[in-house]
Amino acid sequence: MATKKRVETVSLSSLSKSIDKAVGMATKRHGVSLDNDNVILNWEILGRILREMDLSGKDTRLDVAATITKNVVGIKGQPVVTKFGKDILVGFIARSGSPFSF
Amino acid sequence: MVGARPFGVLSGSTGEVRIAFFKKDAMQKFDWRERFATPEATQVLRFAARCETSACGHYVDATNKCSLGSRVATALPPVTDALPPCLVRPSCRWHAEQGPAVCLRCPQVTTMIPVGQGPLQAIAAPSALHGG
Repeated sequence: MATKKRVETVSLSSLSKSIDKAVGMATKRHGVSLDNDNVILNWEILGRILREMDLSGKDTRLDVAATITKNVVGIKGQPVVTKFGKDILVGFIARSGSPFSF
Repeated sequence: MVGARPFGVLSGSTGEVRIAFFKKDAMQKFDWRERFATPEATQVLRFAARCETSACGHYVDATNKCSLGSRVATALPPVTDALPPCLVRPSCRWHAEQGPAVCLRCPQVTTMIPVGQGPLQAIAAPSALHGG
């Protein structure tokens, strides 16, 4: 009889990694694409991209903004970085004119 | 569904999906509503919810049992040797009705099954038991 695996468990320390893996699997299984309205899931994926970028190196916040506009399929926008007091806003200004659900 | 809450997350591989079960400390710090919209959450997480009894297509009034749990226990192969450390077992209808046998098969069950995943979809269909 073949040995069966024990089930995996997810603790607090491994939660983030497990969720990242699950998002990746859900993307493959369900064909979730970045141009759907599931912006919250998109931001999970973008979050991983942003985490992998080394801002202390050659990448700047404008590069991050450009990454967002490049990776959210269907978005036509101008990457922008602006500062309000202590807050730095990184994102894009949509040009499509079509509704975009948040 | 009333009181739906995740108790696991997709893991394994794309070809052999298994649920990784949340430990208590993970659930205490994880606000899934904050991170996911509901449709996406069901694709990423494994949910449990309060049994809707007769309002659910899987519930069999004649026996007062869940036919889905029965099909999981009888039609799927076991995928683990030991009971998963499951947070919902104390209140799980499947476990109460089917016993540990369903727990050994449960890690291969996902909340959302993609189109084309034959065996799981067949088991998930209420008509599989009712002959409809």
